[in-house]
Amino acid sequence: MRINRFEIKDFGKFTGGKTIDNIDSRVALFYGRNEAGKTTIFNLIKSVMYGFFPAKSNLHPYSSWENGRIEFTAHITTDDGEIAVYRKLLSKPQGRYVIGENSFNIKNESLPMNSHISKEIYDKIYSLQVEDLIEIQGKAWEEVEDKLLANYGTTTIRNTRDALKDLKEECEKIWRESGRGKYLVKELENEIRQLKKMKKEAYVREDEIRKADRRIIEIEARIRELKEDKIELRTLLNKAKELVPIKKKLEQLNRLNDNLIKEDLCLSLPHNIREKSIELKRDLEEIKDRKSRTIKILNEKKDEIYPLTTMDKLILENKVKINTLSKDYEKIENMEESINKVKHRIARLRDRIFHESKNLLTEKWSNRIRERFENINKSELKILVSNYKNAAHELHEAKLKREMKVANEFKISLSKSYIYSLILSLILIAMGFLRGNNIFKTVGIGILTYGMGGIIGYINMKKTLNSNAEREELDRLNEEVYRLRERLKLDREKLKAYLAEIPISSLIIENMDEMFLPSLMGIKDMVYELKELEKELDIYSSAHMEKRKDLNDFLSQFIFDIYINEDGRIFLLRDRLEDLEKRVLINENIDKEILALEKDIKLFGERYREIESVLKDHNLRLNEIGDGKLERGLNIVEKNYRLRTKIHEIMEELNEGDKREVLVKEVRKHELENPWIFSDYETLRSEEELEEINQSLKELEVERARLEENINRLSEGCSLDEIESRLILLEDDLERASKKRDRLALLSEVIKLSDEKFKEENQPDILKNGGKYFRTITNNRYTNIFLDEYEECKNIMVKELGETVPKRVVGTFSKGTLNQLYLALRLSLIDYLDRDREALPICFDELLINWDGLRLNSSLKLLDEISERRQIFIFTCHDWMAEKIEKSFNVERIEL
Amino acid sequence: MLKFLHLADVHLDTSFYSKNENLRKKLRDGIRKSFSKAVDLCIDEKVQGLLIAGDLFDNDRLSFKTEQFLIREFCRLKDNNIKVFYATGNHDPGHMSYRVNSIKWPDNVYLFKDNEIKRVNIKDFNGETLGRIISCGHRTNNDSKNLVKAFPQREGKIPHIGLVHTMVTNVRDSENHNRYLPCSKEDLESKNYDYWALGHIHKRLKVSDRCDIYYPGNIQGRHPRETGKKGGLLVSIDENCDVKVEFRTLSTIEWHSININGLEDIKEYSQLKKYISNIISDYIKENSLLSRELVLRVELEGRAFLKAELSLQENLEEIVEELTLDMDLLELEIKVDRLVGRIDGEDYKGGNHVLALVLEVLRDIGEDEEILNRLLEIPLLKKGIGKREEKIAYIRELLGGIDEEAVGYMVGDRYEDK
Repeated sequence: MRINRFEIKDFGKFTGGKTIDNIDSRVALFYGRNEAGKTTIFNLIKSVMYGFFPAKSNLHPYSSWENGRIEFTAHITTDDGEIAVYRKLLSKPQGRYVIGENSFNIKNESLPMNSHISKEIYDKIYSLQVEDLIEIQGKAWEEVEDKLLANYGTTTIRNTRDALKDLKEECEKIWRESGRGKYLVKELENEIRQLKKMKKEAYVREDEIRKADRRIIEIEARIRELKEDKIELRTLLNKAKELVPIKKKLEQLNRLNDNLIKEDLCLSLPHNIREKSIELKRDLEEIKDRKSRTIKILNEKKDEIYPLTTMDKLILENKVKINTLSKDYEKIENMEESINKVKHRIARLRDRIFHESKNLLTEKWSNRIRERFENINKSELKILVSNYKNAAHELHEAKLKREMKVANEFKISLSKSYIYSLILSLILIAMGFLRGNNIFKTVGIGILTYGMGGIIGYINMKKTLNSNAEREELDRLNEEVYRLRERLKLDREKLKAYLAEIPISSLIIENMDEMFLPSLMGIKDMVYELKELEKELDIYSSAHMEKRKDLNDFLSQFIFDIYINEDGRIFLLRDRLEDLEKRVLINENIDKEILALEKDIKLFGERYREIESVLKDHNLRLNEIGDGKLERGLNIVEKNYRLRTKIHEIMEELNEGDKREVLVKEVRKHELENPWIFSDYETLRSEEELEEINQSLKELEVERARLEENINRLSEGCSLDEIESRLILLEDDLERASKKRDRLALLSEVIKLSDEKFKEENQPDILKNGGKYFRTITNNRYTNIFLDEYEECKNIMVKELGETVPKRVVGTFSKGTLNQLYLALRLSLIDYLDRDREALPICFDELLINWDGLRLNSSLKLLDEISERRQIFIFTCHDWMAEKIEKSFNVERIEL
Repeated sequence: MLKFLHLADVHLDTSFYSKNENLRKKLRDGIRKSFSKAVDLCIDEKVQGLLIAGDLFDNDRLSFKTEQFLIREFCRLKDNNIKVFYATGNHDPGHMSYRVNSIKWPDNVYLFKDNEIKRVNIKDFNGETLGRIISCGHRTNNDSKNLVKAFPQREGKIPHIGLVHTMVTNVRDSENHNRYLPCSKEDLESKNYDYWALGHIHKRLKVSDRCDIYYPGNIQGRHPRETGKKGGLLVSIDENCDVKVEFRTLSTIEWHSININGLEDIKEYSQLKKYISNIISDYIKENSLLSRELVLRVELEGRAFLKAELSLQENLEEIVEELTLDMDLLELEIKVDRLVGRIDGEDYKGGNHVLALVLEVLRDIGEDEEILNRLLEIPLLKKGIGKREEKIAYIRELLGGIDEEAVGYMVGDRYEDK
């Protein structure tokens, strides 16, 4: 990459369009006094290649002093060809480069041809000032190695020093050999130590807890024991309280039982035998009295019974028949009414028939005529009348047709217009011939044709009307009239014959009108209705007679007062029957009462005898108890009763809650096993013993509470289980931490040795090349450069010509030699960094100013050699130096 | 035929790895339940003896409750005519000053409580000898003498069973255990016994390929490293001295540990929860586990987008709580200290930079003696690894998956900021 021309619109002190176009492609020499703008050009070169840092015009140190902006164009020759780089910085950076006809927007990014070298590296290596050249030893060199050599080319990889530093820090977080400060293993070990101490304490605590636990167990056992004793004692004392009264009662019971006299006999008598005897005697009197009263009532009841007569019994026996006939009597009355109604209708019907027949018949209505009417069949009559009427009608129709035929005969006449036309035509024709006029002829022929046509039509019509078919039709109609006339005659005869027995005049038949058949049919219907009514009358009459006969026959077995009419008898019987039924019911109730009274009388007798026997038996027993004395017996029974009542009371008390047997058993048992409980002295002593037990219990409980409190207090700290678990966890953590530290230590060592190896593999080329440059600069005084590591510190060794052992570069070396050594190494590094890529320009700012003439010449010779590969920018404020360079490189200075 | 159940390291009343007091109580009860199951098994299988190879209880602070429980269980065995052969271990030594002596054991219990080697014959109902138990116990909690050497050689044809709580020094998994009453595999083999019932190592282990020498492991896991099903060995020795050994699960609560990778593309909480939940479910299904009897440790490792979020205790507690509830787990612990940032180490392999070389060195570390020697010189915190092989094994263990961490440190924040 070689820069040819700058077109500066605004950059630092350059404003208003400064162009620098005489830049040499190998060695560009910028000369100017201080603040003339040499550093500005140096920064311009960097801005061309890497853009603006910072990227805001108000912050950028080279914003135009007048306009507050930056804008420039640089023309450069690269391996790919000529390019023009345009960059501008206002509020935002802009940038593009043009190669050939292609333009690329690069914004504020580096040019692609110098992207292999970062801006940082370019700053450090490619731009050199005289003061840089003394920084060669120690950290500076390591930095060069780390940043610029070892991990160069992979910007993502950190420098080995940082990685090792991190690893060391990480390791030291876990463990430190010095043991100073805070680190994990120390903390874990401290905690483990602490826990182990706590564990010992916990062991002691646990022992105390165990002892306390054991004592508590003993106390609890003793408490249980005492409580059992207490319960037993209390139970016995309670038992004593319960059993002592029982025992007393049992003794009382025994005494009472001993005082009873002839108890078996006494028990067979009521305890209130004195009152009982009086009561029994009173009962006897009362029964006697009641019996006599009952007998009296019985007799009264017997007198109340109604005796039934023979007639009453007959009526009761025919109860059903009487009820039936009394109901049937109403039916008989209804029948009589119906008969009268039918009779009335028959009479009315006969009158109507007589009246109707008077208009139609020639004779007066008689049974013979009625019979004939009864024999008439309505359908047959209807057919005969209808046939006759149809025949008459058809005849009438035929006659009308025939008359019509005769009347419709055509009378066709010839129209006079035809004749006149014929005459006129002849005249015209004639005139035509006469006059020789064709028009007349033609008109005449036309009119002739018309007249001839009409006449021919008339003749034809005449012929047609006078044909044979017409005549045949008329004959056929005449024949039909004749045939129908014959048929009418025959039908009339048939009708007359059917109605022969009925006196109807022939005239009526022959002049039959529309009312003929309905009149006949009406009479026929009335005759039929009359017959039906007569039949109905017969049925009613026979049923009525039968019922009436039954009633009369039934009533004939009873005797009635003469003044009672026949129709009222059946109802009289019905009323009598109802009265009798009531009487029978009363009699039945009296019978039941009589039976009950008789039973009572019998029971009174039995009861009397029974009481009498009991009274006798009591007296016998009392005499036996009283040794023949009734009063003494009575006294003994009464005394025994009192004793028994007392025994009973005691027994009831003992039986309270159904525990008597159990209690008695217990009393017996305790009399044998614990007789002391029935002794007042002994129970008192036991109560005192109970008090002592209570006191001991209280003391033990106090001791237990104290021990429990002690246990709680001892348990407040971490439990042994917790401590041991924590110890296990910490030991695991410690092991993991140790492993991690060991792993990191190993990794650190691996990285360290890899780094050494890498440098070993890569350094020689740089050192070799650097040695060559150093040899050139020092005019073969020094031949080689080496790197030696001693006590983690790297030292540069140089070998003088003819010497076998390299010499360590120390501060006693001349400043010039050190500068030259550094320059040689820098140049060698630059070659290494640019290898196989675009060779970037280098900048020397007053770099060679302190060198002696010989080494200056040698250095310029070296630069001349280098300028073959890359462009060199030299900035100086010394005229002699500028001249020297002008001569050496055959270039002209660019004055600023 | 002689049939017996071999138990060891029951550690009744031991302490557990848990912050949760309820869980500790469950685990404590769980051991008792497991022991009851062992007694049930003895009764169901009609064994002649129950062999306990030491550490029946954890220390002298055995609770009265557990003491009563033990006596009750042994009485159950007595009721079924089953003998108990109990050799004391370093946790329950048999000296007069220790707890074993203050317990009134039922008369079916044969106690081997000191260094004296005793022989007891097991007889059937007819008085015929079915086998011989040769055993000694730990007298104190610090017996370090090799007593196995003094055990008598096998005599006669009857089955010989050695019962001892010992540390076999030359078997795998021995390095993490204290060397109480130590012996070598060869010492045991040389006795020509039919079966050696050992105790001390908490992991089920067959000591020899040549002889039947077994550690049954403990009866229930106590912390996240004692994982999987735990129980006892049901042993049958027939007339021809053919030995049949069968493991029977007795643990009621199991500890398991799962390592979960593949968190690189998980960018939100619900996705993370679902991912972990699915893996746990699959694990439970594959191993036919009962979630409510499962104490699970989940070790998240590898690249994780949510590394920073997961390093916050509050977030971790949230996910642990939700997963425990959702999956009905007895307890869940999630460890995140093996997580690294979301950078793919593959991207940095083969480059011309130090990281590429670091990855290369880590890859070839086993083959490069010089590098290994340099790493061996690093002072390590891990204790009890003196031998070179032990140290190499430890270094190899530590370097497993360390390349991701290397990338994390070498790329680190600068990458993530970008």
